[in-house]
Amino acid sequence: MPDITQEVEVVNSLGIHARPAAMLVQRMLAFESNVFISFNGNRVNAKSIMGLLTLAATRGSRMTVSCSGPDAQEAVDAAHDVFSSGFGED
Amino acid sequence: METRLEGIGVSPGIAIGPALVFDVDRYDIPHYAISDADAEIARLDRAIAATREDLTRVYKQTAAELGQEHADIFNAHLMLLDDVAVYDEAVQRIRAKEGNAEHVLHVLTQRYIRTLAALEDARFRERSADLLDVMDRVTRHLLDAERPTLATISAPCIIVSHDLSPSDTASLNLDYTLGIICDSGSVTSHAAILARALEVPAVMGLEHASSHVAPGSLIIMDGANGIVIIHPSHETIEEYRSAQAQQLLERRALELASQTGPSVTLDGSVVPLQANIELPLEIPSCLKVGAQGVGLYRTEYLFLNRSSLPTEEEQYHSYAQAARAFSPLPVTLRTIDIGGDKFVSHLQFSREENPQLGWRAVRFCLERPDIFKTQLRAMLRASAHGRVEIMFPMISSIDELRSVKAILQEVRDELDTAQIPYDREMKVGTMIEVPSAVVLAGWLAEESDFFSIGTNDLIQYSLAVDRVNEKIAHLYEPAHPAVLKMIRHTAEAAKAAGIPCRICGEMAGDPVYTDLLLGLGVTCFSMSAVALPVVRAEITLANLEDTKRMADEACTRRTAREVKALLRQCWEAKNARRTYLSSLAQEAGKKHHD
Repeated sequence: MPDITQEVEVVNSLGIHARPAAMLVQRMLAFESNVFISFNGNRVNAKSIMGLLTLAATRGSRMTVSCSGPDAQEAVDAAHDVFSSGFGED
Repeated sequence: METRLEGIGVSPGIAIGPALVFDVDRYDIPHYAISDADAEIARLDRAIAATREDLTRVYKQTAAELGQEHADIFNAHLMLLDDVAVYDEAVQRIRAKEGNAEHVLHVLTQRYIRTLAALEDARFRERSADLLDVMDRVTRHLLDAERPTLATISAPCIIVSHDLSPSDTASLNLDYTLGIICDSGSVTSHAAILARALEVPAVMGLEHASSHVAPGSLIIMDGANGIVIIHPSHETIEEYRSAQAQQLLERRALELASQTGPSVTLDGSVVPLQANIELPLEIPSCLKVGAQGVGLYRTEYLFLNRSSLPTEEEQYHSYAQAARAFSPLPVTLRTIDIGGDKFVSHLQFSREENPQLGWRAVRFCLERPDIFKTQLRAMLRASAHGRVEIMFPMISSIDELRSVKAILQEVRDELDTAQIPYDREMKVGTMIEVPSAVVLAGWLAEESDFFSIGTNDLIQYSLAVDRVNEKIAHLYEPAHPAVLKMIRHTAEAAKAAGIPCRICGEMAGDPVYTDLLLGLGVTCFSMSAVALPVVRAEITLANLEDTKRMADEACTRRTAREVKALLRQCWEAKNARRTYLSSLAQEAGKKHHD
């Protein structure tokens, strides 16, 4: 099964700091699929707070979400929602 | 053999008990080859499960005892513990036969810390401390090494540590904490302020105590005199036991004798004594000692140790709770004094060369009106539930005072539009803690309802002494003639404008300075609850006219040493009155006992 990918953008003003990272991880843990985020040549597990933090993604960063697994489409959609809601900030 | 150490006594009281050495840093990480990877992974899993139990327990306990906002940090730690990438990498490294679980965890933790340290944004770097904390817990389970946590201690002990962060201190289990001993720190460090507020004896600035004291060794500490005795002899124990009993008796008697009325000088001037607080859990102890309200509510604790900003509702509930508890007495809320030595993990603070002279307090608030207005709204709404007052910290110019008051007016207008009730007569004061504000005190007084002198900052800025720098901490001198003249000038400006001149720094709670401050023109004192009975006794024994003469004399002394000699002389002159009061108090204590 090929990966499903989707471009997303960080829109909240503080970027992916601890709270947004925790929020994304909590949403992603609900899915069976593997979810990865690629940014600036790094690829990290979207179910890992430490991984997300090391991306140091600030406002305006564009990144790619890629999922593989039985619920890949749902996971990609959920990730997109979390990003476009600005992690509930601002 | 008993060993006697001398440090700085920061919170009075005698404690005798076993040492609990609170030190999460020092142990060796073993590195050895493993043959059975599956067994090693199973061992790691057991340690993680045990850590999860610990963290869940600490989380629940903290939420129950100190509130949700203090518990959030442990929830974040639970998420780090369950981080898939960290776990997967650890398992992978064990399977690759890189070594035992402790070693593998250490290697990958260090790698994350290096990566985070390379990032420009301080907020990301700060997460390193949380990761280290969690990995330390797991490693201690792997090594079977006990980790002392202040929230979960289960027997009475004296806590001995290199340093205590505000969150360590906030997690203290008061039922079992007999006293606190720290290598670093001073009278004004957070742990010291909190220790006094919670009435726990504390000695700081002992340099190497935490490495000299073996866990479990018997310790005597005297928080008033800064003395710590390790392995005391039987004679010493007996001596301190009776001193401890005596102190308890005296304190009870003093409380009884001095609680009966407001604090009035011998010549009939009423001098209100208020309490400084930072956590709602301190409210009962303030009421117990008869505080005439809160003179300083430090609101920034709502903003610390958490990953998001406190909401308006959350702030409103905290402020309203204090307002209701003290009504009709006033509660003075200080707007956030973030920056400087405090830190907030969810706001963007770049590292500053000189944070005490940096982006903090009203300077920060004026740049972030969103955060500031939320707080002011919560404060104004709380004013409907009691007598709330607001004061602004770090004001250094007329412009600043006018700007913050303009924002306050905007918030008032918004509340009017939304028809939300608030106290229209609410008093708005200015903190005097920057030398430029002292110079402009006359003008500031015309635009303020009251002054409150923050002596800690005023002293540090006037004398250019960083009070947390151990090398120069001795230059921090409240009895410095310049400090006296600044307080006098501020009080005179307030008097000319017909507004109260209050004081809320550490000096206000030190009985040595009570008469001097009265004489200099201070009209209201705010201090930690534990200091209140003693200062009340000093005021009860003071004669306002005498204190004015004494202050006039003090202002002619050219060195701190000469000022202190005068203070000592006046202290001794009051001794006869003190003896008389304490005999009265003991009578009162006996009667109460019968």
